[in-house]
Formats: sequence, structure tokens, C-alpha cells
Amino acid sequence: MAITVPIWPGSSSFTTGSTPFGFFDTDTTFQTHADKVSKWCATRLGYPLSDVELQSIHLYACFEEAVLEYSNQLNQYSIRDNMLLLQGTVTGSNLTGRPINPNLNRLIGIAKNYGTEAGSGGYLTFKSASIDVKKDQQVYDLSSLNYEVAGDVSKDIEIKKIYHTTPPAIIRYFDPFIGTGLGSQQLLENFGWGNYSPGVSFLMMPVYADLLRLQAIEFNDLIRKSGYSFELTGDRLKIFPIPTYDYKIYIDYITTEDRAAQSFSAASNTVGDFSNAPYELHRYSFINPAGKQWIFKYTLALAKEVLGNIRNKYSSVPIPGSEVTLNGADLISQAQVEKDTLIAQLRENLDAVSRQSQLAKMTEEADNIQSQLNKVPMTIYIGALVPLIMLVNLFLS
Amino acid sequence: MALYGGQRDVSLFRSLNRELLHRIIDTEVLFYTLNLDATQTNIYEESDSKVYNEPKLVYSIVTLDNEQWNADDYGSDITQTAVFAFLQDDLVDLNLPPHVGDIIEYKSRFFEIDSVFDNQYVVGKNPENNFGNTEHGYSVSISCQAHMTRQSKLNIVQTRFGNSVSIKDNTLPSNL
Repeated sequence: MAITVPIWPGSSSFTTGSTPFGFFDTDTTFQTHADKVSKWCATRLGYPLSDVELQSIHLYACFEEAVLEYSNQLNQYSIRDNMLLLQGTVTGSNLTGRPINPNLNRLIGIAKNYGTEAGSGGYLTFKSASIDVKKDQQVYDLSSLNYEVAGDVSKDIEIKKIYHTTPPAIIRYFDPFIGTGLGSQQLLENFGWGNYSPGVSFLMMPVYADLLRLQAIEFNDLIRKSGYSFELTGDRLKIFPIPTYDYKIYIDYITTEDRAAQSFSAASNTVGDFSNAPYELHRYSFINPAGKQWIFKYTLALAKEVLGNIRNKYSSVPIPGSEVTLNGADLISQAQVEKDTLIAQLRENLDAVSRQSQLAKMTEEADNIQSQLNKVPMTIYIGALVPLIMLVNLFLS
Repeated sequence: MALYGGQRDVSLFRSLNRELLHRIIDTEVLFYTLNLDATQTNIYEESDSKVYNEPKLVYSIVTLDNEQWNADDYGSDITQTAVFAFLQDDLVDLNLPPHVGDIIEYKSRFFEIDSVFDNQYVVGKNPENNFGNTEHGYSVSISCQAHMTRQSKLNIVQTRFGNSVSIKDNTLPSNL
């Protein structure tokens, strides 16, 4: 049964639902432009001098795709430019077309990991454990620790700190028995000032005197006493010196599981990657004329591609007594070149307005202004010079 | 079920062909079909005064062969053959099935059809005789092999003028 598939009749009338996705169908400007762009494309393709084997739905689809491509390019660029700022933020708000104020939040977030390892801030809380040291027992198994969280006994842990060191010299600064102290500890203790810093002695001394005294105490401990220390190999903790009485040693630790888990601690509604960065499609009516012109040209390139594919389905078309080859291949190659050119042009423009480029431009501009200003001749102030010359002349005369 | 050559493709071919023949090549011929009812024949079904129906304008791709001049005892003569290719859809629209003996007028010359060819099909199928499969294939054209014939024999146009009684009694053209 012969059917006749209509081709472009010369005009069209856009209705909602005419595009494949319908992203912009309710935008009144899009509705108006859809028919105008279709007519323009058909005219550029040779209508009415030659038939254009397209229907309005082809041209509408091309138009929609062009707007999508434009919006997609802009959004991709924004996401790429702002990804560091976006990661970790909530996904709820639409950032399309909104300026992003740079901040250091994410950088600090990354730096916090170093803080964790250094025991200064960071994401992880150190847990505490203790070990009951027995007299004369020097070696202990970490599995015998008293963990803050009982379940951690079966996990891989990483020891962060073992509180088994020589008491700091400062607390023995006034110790009358170490031979190097100030010798007035007893006196201060009586007044209840024993734990205060050396500042309470009110003796005018240079700071280096305190430092030398502290150093002397430490040297004394190091040379004349058994040092407090430990060896940690595998699960074995060996403490020095050999305990002479029972006491507790406290340990700070983390589990490797906790460290790994904090990498995934962000909530599920936060931006993680390109796919959920909160950039929606642009509203067609808000796109400026420069953007719309790009869209028109891209629509034409797409229309050429579609028409080329239609004309190229069969390598030759039979005509009475012969056959002809259509220009499908030419149209496709033209369309590809035009599309590539338009995309390259748009990306070039976007690159030129990136945050980095703008900062570079402003720097260059400032440098150029400064350079120009430097060329302005320095004025000579002669207001005081003239009376001085007159005075000298008067004196000489 | 074939994947190619469906009616949508055929519609494209038809559209392209019509654009090509009607608007780009734009060559028309006058097609005279033989009126068998009005033609008087002898006992051998022969006739020397064929009657033709009103001509119809048809778009065609014309391939003219070179003219051949002959000179013999009866004088000089000129012969020429041609192939007229028609879009079958046009002929269907005009209800104009070509037959041997029909006359085609082109460039004021009259060509009598010697043979008719209907053998140009898309994807090798003619939906009219494809064992019921009317969804695929397309008969693109009908080509007519023809030779130039004498105008005086056809009596479609008046070729001689004078005081002939037969001319006075008939309106022109006489055999239409």
C-alpha cells in the first residue's frame, strides 16, 4: 500500500509535545522560536527552490538538541570550574547561572587529613586504651589492651601515642632533689604555688636561663637515670625501663576501619562528582542573543546531519531510466565541521571567562596600567625652589 | 520481512523523483493514447486511420538518439529513435497506461511507441506483483522505446493545405 510521508511544507506550528524530550516546550520564547528556527533552517537548506526531506519534528528535535548542547556545555564548564567548591555541598539547590564565590572549605577539608595524622584536628577522634603494667614484666601484647571500644580488640589499630615518657622537665624545675632545680620548691609548695610556672619566682632572669635549666634537668635524666621509652613491633609493646611496680600506661589509637570510613562520611544528598552537581538546564528565554545565535547555528548543523542521513540511506536513488546520487555525504561532512567549529568556539569563549583566566586578565590589566602610569613624566615641584634661588642670589649680591 | 525498501523509503524516492522531474528537469511531452473504440479496422484488425484520445502532458526523461538520414530511389528520409522514461506514479495519477502504438509528441515530432518496459524496481520488488507483499518495493518508471513517425500518417496535426475536399469537410486535427 502506497503511503505518502509528508515533507517540509514551508511552515510549521509548534505545539507542546512536539520535541522528543519536551525540556523547553513550555517556554513561550522557545515555542515562538521553534517555528522561526525551523523556517530558517529549511530556507538555509534550499527551500523553496528545492525540497527539504524533513518534517517539522526533525527540526524541532534539532532545535531542542541545540539548546541542550548549549546548556550542557555551559554546565559542564561551570562544574569543571567549581568542582572543588561543589563537592560536599548539598544537592538541593540549582546553581545554574548563579555565580559561585570561591572559598577554602574543600581545601581545608583535604588538609584536615594531615591534621588527623599529626594529631591536630582532622576528622578522626583518637580513642584511648590502657595497659596494666606489672612489676618486672617488660613485654605486653596489644590484644591485651583495655580498649575504649571493646569491639576494637579484633580490628586493625594504629597506635598514635603511648603515654610512657620521662616527666617533662618543667614540672621539676623547682625540685630540690634533682640537684639542678631552683631549690625553693618546698617554699612554693607551702604557699600553694607549686604547680605554677617559673614566672612566680619574680626573679629577673633572662629566658635562656630557664631554658638552660630545663636542658640541664633533661641531660641529668638522660645520663644518670634509666630513660622512659618503649619499642613497638607488630603487636608487641616492650617498655623501658623494666617496671619496678604496677602501674597503667595509656595509649591513643585509631582503627584503620575508622580512617577509611571517614572518606565516605558525606551524606548521600551531597555533591560527589559530575553526575550530581546541582546544575539544571538553562531556561531558553533567559539565554542572551549571543547564546541564541549559537543555538540557531547548531540547529542548522544538526538539521544538515539529519537530512544528510536521510539522503544517504541509499547510495543512489532510482529515477526513470537512471539513478542519481544525492548530496547526503556532503551534508553530513558539512554538519560535522560546523558542529565541531561551534563547539570549539563556545569552549574557547568559556575558557576565556574562567575564573583563572579572568584573574590572569585582571593581573595583566593592572600591570599594563601600572606600566602606562610609569611613563607619565614626574612633575618637578618648583614652588620652593624659586624663592630659594632668589634668596641665594640676594645673599650673593 | 524486508528491512529496506519499505513504503516510507518509497515515499522518499517518490518525493525526490517528483522534485527532480517536475521542478528540476521539467521536460514535458504530449502523450496520445490510441482510441480503439473510434478506430476503424479492416478484417485483419489493421487501420490506416487511427484515432487518438486527447493528449495529456506528462513529465518525462527523454533520451533522443541521433537522427539517421536515408536516401533511396524514393528520395531522402529521416529516422530517429528515442526512449521516453516516465515516473510510474505520474502515469497512475493521469490514468495513462502506455501501450505499443501510442504516440508521444516531443519537440513537434511524433514518436510511436514500439515497446514498453516496466522493469525498474527499488530493491528489486514491484509491490503490485510481489505475492501480496505490498509494503516493500517500488516500480519507479515505465520506459517507452519509440521511433519517429510521419505526421501525415497520424493526422493529428494538419500537414497539407489546399483545396482538398477532405480537408474542407473536417475540422482540425482530423484524427483526434
